[in-house]
Amino acid sequence: MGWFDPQRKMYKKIPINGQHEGIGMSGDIALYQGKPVVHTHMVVGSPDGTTRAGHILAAYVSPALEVMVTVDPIAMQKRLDPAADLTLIDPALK
Amino acid sequence: MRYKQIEDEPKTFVLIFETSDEIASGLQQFARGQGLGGSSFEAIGALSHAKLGWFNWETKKYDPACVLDEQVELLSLIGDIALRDGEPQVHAHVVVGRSDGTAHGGHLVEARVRPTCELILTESPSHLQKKLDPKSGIALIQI
Repeated sequence: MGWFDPQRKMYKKIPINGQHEGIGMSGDIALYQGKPVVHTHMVVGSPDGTTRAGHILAAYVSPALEVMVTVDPIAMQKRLDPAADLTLIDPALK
Repeated sequence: MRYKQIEDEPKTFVLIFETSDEIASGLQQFARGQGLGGSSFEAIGALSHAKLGWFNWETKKYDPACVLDEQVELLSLIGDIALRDGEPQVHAHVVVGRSDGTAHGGHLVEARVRPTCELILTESPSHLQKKLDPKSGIALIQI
């Protein structure tokens, strides 16, 4: 998982190993320079019932992850935000 | 906060909050401005400050469950908007992630954005009305 460090303008890596329940995953897909960019957050459950969570950098499935995707009638566009050094959705872009 | 309507039926908006925007008051203001009667929304993003509440059944008030004056991932924000005495009322629940990967959750009291919050809001087909529930002392949706 990742945690966005606003000072370093990078994601700090949070390694989470071992079997976990995928409790909640939300996200969106927007376009940057014509290519889709996936932005996803996830909460996972440990064997003792506590949770860990963050921005998904990489998540390996075991045994299954069920995802529903709804396509919006208008695609959102991203632009590079120099303050955060991230691509952020700009609703004014077409 | 900037927004774009992306669908007419049902009325659907994308709301993009920016650094230093506050989500709860921003949503309330948006709902009033658009004359929304009942809606549901969800969002992800990141925050520089979050105040989460926990409903205390004894006092019938929200206790401050967790005040985080630090950068957190906004892992999920789920909520609805209904009318109470003609005024839109925002009800939302939040899960946030700290830098060590631990998660905290509660009722949204205050959430200050940094650097973005991407929210999608859909208006409900019929107006959701809230009515004061004497048992809990809070306004709950009546259907």
